[in-house]
Amino acid sequence: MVWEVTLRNLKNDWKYKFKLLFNSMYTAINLALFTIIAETLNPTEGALPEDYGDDGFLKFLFLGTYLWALFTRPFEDTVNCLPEETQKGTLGLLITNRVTVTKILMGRFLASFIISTCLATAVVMPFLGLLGMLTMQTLIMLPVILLVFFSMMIFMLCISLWVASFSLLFKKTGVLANVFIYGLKVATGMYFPVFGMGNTALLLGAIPISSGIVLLRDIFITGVPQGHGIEGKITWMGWETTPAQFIEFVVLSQVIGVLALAFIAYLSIKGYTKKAKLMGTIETY
Amino acid sequence: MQENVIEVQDLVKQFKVGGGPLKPKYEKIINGMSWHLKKGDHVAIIGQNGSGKTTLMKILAGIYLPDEGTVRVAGHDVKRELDEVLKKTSFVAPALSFLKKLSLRDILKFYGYSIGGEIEPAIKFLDDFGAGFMIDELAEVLSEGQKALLRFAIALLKDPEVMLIDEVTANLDVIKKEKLLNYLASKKDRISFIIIDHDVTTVDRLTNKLLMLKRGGTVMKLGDVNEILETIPYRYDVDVMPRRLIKKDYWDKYEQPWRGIGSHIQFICQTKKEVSELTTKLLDDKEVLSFTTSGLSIEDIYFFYLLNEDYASSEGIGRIGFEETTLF
Repeated sequence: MVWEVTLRNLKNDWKYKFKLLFNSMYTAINLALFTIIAETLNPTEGALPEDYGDDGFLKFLFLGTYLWALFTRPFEDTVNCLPEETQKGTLGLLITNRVTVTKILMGRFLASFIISTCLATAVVMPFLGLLGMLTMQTLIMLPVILLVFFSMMIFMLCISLWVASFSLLFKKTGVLANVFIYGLKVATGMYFPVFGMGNTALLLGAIPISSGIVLLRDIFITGVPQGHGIEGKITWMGWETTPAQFIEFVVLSQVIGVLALAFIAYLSIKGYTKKAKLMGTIETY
Repeated sequence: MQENVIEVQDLVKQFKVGGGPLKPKYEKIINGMSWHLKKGDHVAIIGQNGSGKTTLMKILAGIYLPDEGTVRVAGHDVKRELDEVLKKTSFVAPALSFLKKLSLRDILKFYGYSIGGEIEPAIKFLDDFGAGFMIDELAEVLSEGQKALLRFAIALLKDPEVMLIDEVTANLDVIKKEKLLNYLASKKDRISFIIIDHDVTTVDRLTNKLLMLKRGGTVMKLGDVNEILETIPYRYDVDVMPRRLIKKDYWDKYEQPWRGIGSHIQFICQTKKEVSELTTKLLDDKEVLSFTTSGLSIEDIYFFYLLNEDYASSEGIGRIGFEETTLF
């Protein structure tokens, strides 16, 4: 049923072509801005792995922009999904025809994710090629890329469901969603290298989306995972700045982070749906 | 023993109507309601604004959950077996809508999948009602009447045991209304209809019971339509539009029960002879701009009971002034 909801949204979204065009433009503008930033600013020495090379910061920002372009729109669409379905008058028909709130939200996320992936990839891929990030080594690492990418997508799906569930009880959650996604972008290193922050990096880096982005950046820029951290600064729990240790860290953060958030999102949607049906707020905005 | 298709026992539903987060203020929309409907029976729910009709419908449809009490639909508890309730129950209301950028076929396919039903009968239904040629059109081009038909097409996908319908023929033209009533009436053996409607024709054609609710969400009366009609001595009403607002005791001179509805005056009569005598007098009355006569409506029946039960000391259905009509 989730796939049917996804198809329903895809068919509907496809009719709003200007919206798709503006979303692509937004990604392109972001890339242009980050090019300017990378040309005018330099990160602290040692904040990025040495193998990233001279234009490492530009590549770093490009990949961050690309990956967040994939996840931002699905998150925002999912959080706004229930209020929008209600305003359109479609929510009542859905929930009385066995389409649960969870399925509605999952279908919304997946549809937006598919669209974002197609649009952002079309806009960004040529630049990745020009910057030398699409090589034979990238192709060899494709299974790892897809696996990490999939895990990050599940994490973002869970976080989107969790935040979207607030809209069952609290109205006008749009600002909360904006704060949340902006905070997440900052915390997960869209604009700066997380592992340049000493011990704090272990907290921020443990967020699945954060560790995933770092690993994908490594693979696209250098072809292999790197050891992260600044020698002598990260001392927590026997942390070492080796690639092997980092891969272990990524796997742990993905598995624990995704499972924990999936559990929270499930409980949150179940609990809030029941409460919204009791309070009568499920289809009132 | 005949099986109950609906069982409502000590139902309480309240909503927050104000107050702060620490001291919320709640109002009981339904307060201790109990009633049941046997399989094969069909009921029209009537009541004034605030009597809990729509809330009750939404509880039966699984959109809201009861705060207290139990509600069973088609043999299943709406709290514990909601999915089973949804499999057997269809809800149709003008407020329910669909994505406007999808075609009718896409919409039917989607809902067909969600409930595990075939869409061919729904397409045939639309065909029979002259909307079949629009099957590949986007929903945004549908008229309100065509949207109403699409809602019924979706509702019928389930082959439901219970149909909850808010305003059955809303937005339909006279011919389609007649056709739809015939169609639904032909399904009465297999589907139990629970409707909110004040249209006497619809109630008469689709239901055999009336559930009258009081403000505050309690049952005023549940009974057989014919039995209830027999208890009311009045059969006709004469709706008068005066030229100007005049003192209400002016209308007492006709010695016929009346009530004010906004700027109108409504007389009620027991026999055709009374109607004839009254209208003859009205024709000569310079204060009367126009008048129409008709059979007693469901609202009139409801109002009659409301007055007789809530205003036992009142003068009956007649001589109800402008103040009291705010009840409507």
